[in-house]
Amino acid sequence: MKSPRVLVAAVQSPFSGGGAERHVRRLTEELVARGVEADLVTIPLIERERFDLVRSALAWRSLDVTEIAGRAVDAVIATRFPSYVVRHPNKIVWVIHQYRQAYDQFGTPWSDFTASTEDRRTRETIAAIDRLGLTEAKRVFANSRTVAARLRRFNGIESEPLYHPPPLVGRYRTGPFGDYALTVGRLDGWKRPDLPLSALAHAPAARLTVVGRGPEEGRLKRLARELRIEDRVRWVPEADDDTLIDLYAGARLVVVAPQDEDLGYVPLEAFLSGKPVLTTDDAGGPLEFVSDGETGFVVPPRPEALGAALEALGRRALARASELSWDSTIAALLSAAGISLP
Amino acid sequence: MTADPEALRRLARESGKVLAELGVEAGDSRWIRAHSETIASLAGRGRRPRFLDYLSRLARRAARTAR
Repeated sequence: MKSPRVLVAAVQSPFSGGGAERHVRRLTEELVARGVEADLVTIPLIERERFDLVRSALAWRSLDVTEIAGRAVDAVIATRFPSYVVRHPNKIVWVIHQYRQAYDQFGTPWSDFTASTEDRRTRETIAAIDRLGLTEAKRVFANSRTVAARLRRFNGIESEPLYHPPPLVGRYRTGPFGDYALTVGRLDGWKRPDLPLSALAHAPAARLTVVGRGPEEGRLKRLARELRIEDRVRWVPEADDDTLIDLYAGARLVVVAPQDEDLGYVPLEAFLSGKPVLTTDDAGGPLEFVSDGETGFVVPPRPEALGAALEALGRRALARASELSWDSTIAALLSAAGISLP
Repeated sequence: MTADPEALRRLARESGKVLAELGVEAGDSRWIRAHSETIASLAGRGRRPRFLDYLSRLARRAARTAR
């Protein structure tokens, strides 16, 4: 029996690769590990002007990937806006990212879309691109219930949540509870990295390790000085896999404070490291895993509430994250495409 | 070496249709112009101004008919 051929379609963000980029690489590797002839195709999305979003969609739509080098491609698994407008008769979409600035983030500080005619047309066009790419797919999955709910609310499209393990699954380890809370992620405004920092001002005994870099880095360091907490904050702009695993293993707890996050690996990574998660009641995806008082703490998104919870601990998170495996995730994707593993 | 003008005309017509499929309308003139500039850039410098107008008309017409 010939190996099925599957293309994973993804969008590349040059020089700022994050969780989504790692995720599609891992998905491709996991397919290959199961005997599928899989490959990853990416097109960068470089937005200098609004029309670049349409240009990128046009590039995906112009591709014909039904046959490559004289052999049929059995299925395409498309992931992120606008890769899912690629044409293929057996297209499965696993939505990792919509273009959120046009939807739920519109009208918030995290979206730069205005009421101008061009911005209105861009938002309408993004919705048209989503409608086209998703309604013609054979099956639509979302990477979390939060993303599925957004697809229903803004696009009227039904999708099925399909979870997957975090990137370093099998390597995370538990360790003794250390003296620091850990926060991991790009230092972007909508991820609210200022919240755990501000919380520290309300938790005099707590220490915080911040892993990540991003546009907010300078402002956050100034904030730490203003709050006079800089001697209790450790900045780790970049962490390789081993360092990250060590940091998780040695943390007291992990703080996850974004607003309406899609899914986020961080809670899962924390659980697989045996650490409780402190998150907020508007965090979105993390709330699909974090149960208040069971696998972590869920508090209102206010520094004093997070600060009060920073002292607490929990140990029952590991079991929830351990239920996820690539076997079940890939079985769901391939079965939707009518493909059996060789 | 420059691209074959007929190939560029075909590209303008076909991509105009795809733009319409993606939600772009004939009235989105700045976008159609920007798109046509990309195609016209393949034609080499000498032909650009008139050829660009021509390609824009083709793309706009394709976008209009495809809707």
